Parts: sequence; structure tokens; C-alpha cells
Amino acid sequence: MKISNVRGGLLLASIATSLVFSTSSAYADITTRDVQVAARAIAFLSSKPKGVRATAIIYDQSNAASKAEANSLVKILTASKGTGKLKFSAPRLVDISALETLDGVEIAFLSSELSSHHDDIATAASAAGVLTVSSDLDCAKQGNCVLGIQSKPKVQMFISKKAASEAGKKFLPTLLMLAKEV
Amino acid sequence: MKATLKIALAGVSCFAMTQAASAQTLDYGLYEELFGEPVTTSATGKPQRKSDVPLNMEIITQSQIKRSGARDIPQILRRYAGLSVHEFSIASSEVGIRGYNQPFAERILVLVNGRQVYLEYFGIVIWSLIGVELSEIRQIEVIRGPNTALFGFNAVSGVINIVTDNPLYTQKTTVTAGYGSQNQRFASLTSSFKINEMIGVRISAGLGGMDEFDTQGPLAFNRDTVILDPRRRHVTGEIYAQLTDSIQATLEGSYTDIDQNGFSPLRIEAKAQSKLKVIRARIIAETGIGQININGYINDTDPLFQLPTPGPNLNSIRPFNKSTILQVSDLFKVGTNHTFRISGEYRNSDFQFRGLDFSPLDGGGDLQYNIYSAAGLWDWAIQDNLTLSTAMRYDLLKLDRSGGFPGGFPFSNDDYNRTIKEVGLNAGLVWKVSEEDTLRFTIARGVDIPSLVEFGLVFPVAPSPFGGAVFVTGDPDTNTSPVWNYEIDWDKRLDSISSNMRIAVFYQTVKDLQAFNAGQVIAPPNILNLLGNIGDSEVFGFEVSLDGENDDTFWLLNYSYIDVTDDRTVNNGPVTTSPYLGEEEASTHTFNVNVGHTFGKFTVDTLLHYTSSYQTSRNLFLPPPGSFQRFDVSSNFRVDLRLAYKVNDSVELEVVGQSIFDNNFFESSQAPVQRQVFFRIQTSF
Repeated sequence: MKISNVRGGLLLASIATSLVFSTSSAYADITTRDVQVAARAIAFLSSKPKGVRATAIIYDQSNAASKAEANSLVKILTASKGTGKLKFSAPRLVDISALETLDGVEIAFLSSELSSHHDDIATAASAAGVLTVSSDLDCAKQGNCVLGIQSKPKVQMFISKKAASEAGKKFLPTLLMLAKEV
Repeated sequence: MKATLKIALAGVSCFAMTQAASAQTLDYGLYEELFGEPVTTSATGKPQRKSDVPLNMEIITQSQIKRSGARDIPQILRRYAGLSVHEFSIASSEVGIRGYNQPFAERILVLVNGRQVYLEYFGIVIWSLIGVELSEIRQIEVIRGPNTALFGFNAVSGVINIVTDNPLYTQKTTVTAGYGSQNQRFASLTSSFKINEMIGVRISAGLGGMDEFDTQGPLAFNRDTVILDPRRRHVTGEIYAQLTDSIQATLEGSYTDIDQNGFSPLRIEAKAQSKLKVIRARIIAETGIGQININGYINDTDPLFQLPTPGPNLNSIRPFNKSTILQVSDLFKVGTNHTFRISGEYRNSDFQFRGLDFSPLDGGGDLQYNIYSAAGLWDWAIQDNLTLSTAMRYDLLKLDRSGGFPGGFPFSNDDYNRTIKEVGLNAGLVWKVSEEDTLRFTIARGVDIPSLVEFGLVFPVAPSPFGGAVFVTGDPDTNTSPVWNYEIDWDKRLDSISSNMRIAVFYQTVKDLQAFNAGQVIAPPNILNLLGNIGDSEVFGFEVSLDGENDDTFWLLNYSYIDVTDDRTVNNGPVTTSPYLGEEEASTHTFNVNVGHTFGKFTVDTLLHYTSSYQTSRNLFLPPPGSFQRFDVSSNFRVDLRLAYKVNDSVELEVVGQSIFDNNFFESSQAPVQRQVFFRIQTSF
């Protein structure tokens, strides 16, 4: 059987089952629960990070929605207690026009409306050794973010092997088997 | 081909070299917190979220165990879809998965932290002999359906893996004590603690006693030949050591001692006094070629069974059994989408058949088998929402016997020099159709091999008319029983009611069922009732379950339907000559309604459990020799109730009632089950 026939069959089956089963979108604003999941996942780096980690939020100040979510993220991260051993610092806001200022940042959360900038963010983050986190799962699937996380309706976690390698980040093997490594 | 192999090996080495060196057993609690659901390695050998496993699995959490109010593991299992529990006496129960629940059923593999606790001489599980206390159990993983490809022979109805707390990740001490009806008294201490950052220790100890049900069954459950005061004593110690960042090791020793009444496969009660000694060592190492697991253990069983039979009042048998198991596995990823696990296993089990005074029984010999196994798993993430898991296992068994036989026996030791080769298979396709819906399509081939008893038992049960004896005898030519299982499961998350729903439909076939009294050989002066093959069977069934919880309320509802059809060579006429009654003994309908609610410091948990009627049998030693009388077990509603009061964060008081509205009802043809009420105090710190 040709692979194209198999893929075609799967596509038809997907369409048919979507008529029966509910679906949802691939992106949602980052929530407090997302941040908690991210903190727990980051604790599974092989370097076992502890204490306060320098944190940033990447956003597009020319986009109202991106700016609004960035402000929401500031509140969430500021209030976040991390995992107990790992905590986020008060986050620095980094506009997409100033990605070179990511130096010294260890963890960066991506705001919304940044999909057209993912390549640039990936390049800057890998050069600075930054672990990027996004609730846009496509960012990780396409190798532009290290971690893609959604916690509702159930926890989904994508780890980009390419982005993690370029940023010099290594996760414990058990987490790589439990999450989706892409 | 060569180029492909080179690429594959390069992929492995690239993967392994880029991975951090940090070997550890699975930190169940941490990963459960992270993913919001339990995690397991019991499905395929690799760590997986419960929602990702490629077979029908239930994970019973520590909270659910506590809320059950149960005093033993079978009473926890009773409330889950597809599981049946028959209580034979106050201290013993038999558990079945999807039918074929009968005394000394050998179709379920039970493990503690991956170490088997089922007893190879009979392929049985004596639940009270398992060296674990309820307060130290992290989770109980229940797999419905065959999993021979991962676990080996006899994992044909299912697998139950009991996972305890790991002291490197969980530090907790719990003291429990209780007293209740039937003079039940029990106490346990479990503690997991760290000596330093690198070493943790788990200890558990328990003892208990009770009075046997004081009921008299209609088919002469003879209280003169049973143990009237069953008791249990247990102690286990285990050390966990993180030797380096790459290597973790454990060393375990366990001892359990029980006196209780069981229901033998000859369908008569038996005094069952057993001692089980276990020693185990395990190493987990993260290496350049993946995660290596080396696991070795010895189960040394010293049992004494005493059965009331005509002639001598009690017939005694000591089936000494020592099993030595060594397992090695390597788990690794190639790229991002492929996970492999290769493993090998060596098992030696020997069986010495002795009388009450430890001398060889008349004609009893020593039997052993060596099993050499190789297995492989391939887990392929085809797409984000589509995963295919395939596992295969090859087992080679070599059987061997030494010793004598009673005069005139038709077998010789050469008849036992057999080699058996079998293949097990598990394949599962997991399709995440949406964020709420998952479909699983699974196919499995399992193999049930005859136990050492079924191969080589020589047990006199009555005098023969020829001046010799009637023997229950193993048959060295007994065939293995292959089982095929086909199943479709649908899991759906119902956020609007904070619940998970599962619908499972399955079809299973069994070839060459094994049973006692499969045939008879007249060999004067003796008569031999042979263990052997009695035909085929098939079962069709479906299960529907709904479970969920919110802040204060917990619920579990399920309904199970099974239809067993036998095509057998025994028990087709007016006389029941074999204890096997597969289709009659299956309860067609079962449902459970388990609801709990917390209000303030009080928690109430209730279970309504219903099983429809079925038919079982009992051995009355009626002529012809070895025939059985059938016995109807009526359909039954059973209500269990637990009321708990939280004194403070450390102390909780409970009162538990089992079968509170029904007293003296049957789940077997042995003694009727009585209502039980007990109080329990538990403190954790």
C-alpha cells in the first residue's frame, strides 16, 4: 500500500471523525496553569535548575493583542511560585524588534500574535541559550520554540529536539518519553 | 540493508550521547503532578501517560485505594469494570478479569514493582501472601487482556502491577490499626525515608488475624477441617541508592507468613499455610546505548496444603517451589518518533513435592523448568495524534523431572523432557481523534502454560477399588493454551461534568483450555484423574465506565457484560466430572456505583455492587470418583460503606462496613460470606 494512500485514508478518517468528535484550536492564551506546567517541565532539565531564573516575555508592542497578553503574563509570572525549587524572576519585556537584548535571559515566554516572527525568535534565542516557551504548539512542532505547552483541556507538551539542541538545553530521558518530542 | 542498519545504529548512538546521564526509577508523583494524570511503565516498558497506553488499563490511585475502605487488595479491585471477585473465606478471594474466575485461576499475572508475586508451582496468586501493605501502595495498575509480549506466560486475562512509594521521592510514615467483627484485628507500619540525598529506605510490616466465617455452607464446608483463626504476618525492607547520576540500585528482602483457608481447584476447602521469602536486586543505568535495567530475584515458597478427602481425614501436600528470575532490558529512542525496548529473561522454577513430614510423597518427584526469553518493543509516533506500539516475545521452555512414581504409573521421567516454544504479541494503535477523544485498536496473543503442578502433580486423593489409590495427576503432554484478544476502546473526556468515560468492546478466543479431571486412566491398582486439555472457549464482552471528581465529590460508575461460550470435552452430560465451568461460572452482568462526598471533616464513600447469577460446583467425592455437584449462586446486590473523620492533617478515623445489608450470601460454593464491620485509625507523618 502506498504511503500517499495511507495518508489519504487517514485524512478522510479525520474528516469523518471530526463530524463525531469535538475539536479545538492549536493556540490559547497562556494561563496560570500553563506557567505551572512549564515550571515543572523546566525542572526536568538535566542541569536541574534551582532558585530564581532570569525570565523574559517576548511580545510585539505594535500589536494590541500581543501587548495585552504580555501584560497578563507579567502578572501571572510575578505571582507565580514556580515549582518550589525553581522560580521565575520578575519578567523583562522584550519587543521583537530588540531580540538582541535576550542576553542573560534563561527562560522566555512568547506572547500571542508572534507566529510570523518565530524564525527570528528562534535564531536569537538559540544564540543566547534561551529556553523559549509558548502556548502556540506549532512553534515547538516547527522547531522554533523549545517547549510548547497547553494545560487545558488536558496537558499537552511538545519539546522541539532541534530548538532544545540549538539552545543547549537537555531534558531528562523520562520526560522526553512522556512528552511529545518533535 | 547494511546502510539502513548503519543509519539506525548511528541514530541510537547520536540519541544516547546527547542524553543527560540521570538514571532513576519513575517518580510517579512528580510526573502525575506535571501531566495531570497517572503515569506508568506497565503497558509497554517505557514511561507513558495513562491516556497514551496502547491497551486497556486502569490505574487505581492512592486516594482511590484509601476511599475504598478495603482491608485487602481484592476488595479494592471488585469495583472496577471487567473484574470479578469471589470471596471464598474471610481471608481469601479469587480475582478474575473478563471471566474464567475459578479457584486457583492462573490467568492473571500479579507483580509488585515489576516483580512477580504469583506462585509458579500452581500459577496462582494468594493475595494475602503478597508482601505489601495498603498504606504504602502508590498505585495499582490493572491491564485487561493479554500482555504476554511484555510479561511472559500466564499474563493472559490481564496483569496487575502494584507500585509502592519510592523513598527517594516520597518520605512518609503511616501507622494503621483496626479491630472489627469476626474478631478482626490488624496493624501495620509503613515508612519510606531518606538517610541522605543518595540513599532511601522503605520498610513495611503488618500482622493481623480474624475468625473464619462461622457459617456452614449447604454443601458441607466442614468447620472441623479448616483453620478457624486465619492470620498473616509480613515484613519487607528495601534500600534505594542513587549510586551516581547515571546509576540507581535497589535491594529488597521480604517475608510473609499466612495461615488461612483457600478453595482448591478440586473444589474443596484447603488449609493453606504458606511462607514466602523474597530477595531482589535491581540496577537502572543511563548509558550511551539507552536505559539499561537489570532485575534479579528469587521467590522461595514453603507451602502446606491440607485437604479433607475420603480415607485419611486430611491429605497433606507440601509443594516446595523456588523460582529464580533474571531480566535485562535496554530502552532507547531513535530520532524523535521511535522508541525501542529489547529484553531478555532467564527463569528457573523448581517444584519439590513432599508430604507433611517433608519426605517425598508416594511416587512424588522433583520437577523443574528453565525458560529463556527474548522480547522486543517498537513504539512509533506516526503523527502527533497517532501512535503504533508493537511488542513480540519468544519463550523457550525446557521441562525436566527426576524421582520415582507409584507402581504401575504410565509415565516415565523421559516423558517430561519437553521443549515448548511460544510467541506472544501485543499491538496497539492509539488515535487521539480530538483533545477529548481517543480510540484504541488492539490485538494480542497471550499464552497460558501449564503450571508445574499441572505438568507433574502426583497426589493421592482417595482409595481405589483395586487396592491402590485415586491420583490427581499432571500430564506431561498437556498443551499450552494460546489466547487471542481483539479490542476497540473509546476514551472520552467530558469536561462539562469533570468526568472520563470509557467504552470497551472485546472478543477473545482460547484454545486448549487446561483443567483438572480432563481424562481418566485406569492403571490397576491405581486410577489416574489427569490434568490436561479440555477444549476451546471464546468470550465476547463490553464495558462502559464513567469516573470523575470535583472538590468534594468522587464517582465511579461502570457496567460490564461478558458472554463465555465453551466448546469442551468435559461436563457436557448429566455428571460433572471436571471442576471447569467456564461459561456457567461467568457472571453475565456486573455493575458498580461508587460515590463519595466530603463535607467538612467527614467523608462518606459508598459502593453498590451487583453481579448476576452464575453456577459453580463443589467436590463431594460422590461416585464416580472425582465428580462434582453444581451449585447456583444467586444474583447479588452488595453495599459497602465507609465513614471517615479527619481529626487533623495526620490522623483519620474510619468505620467500614462490607455488605452491610446482606449477611450469609454466596460468592462460591464454599462458606457464605458474612457482613463485616471494622474500625480503623490511621496516622501519617
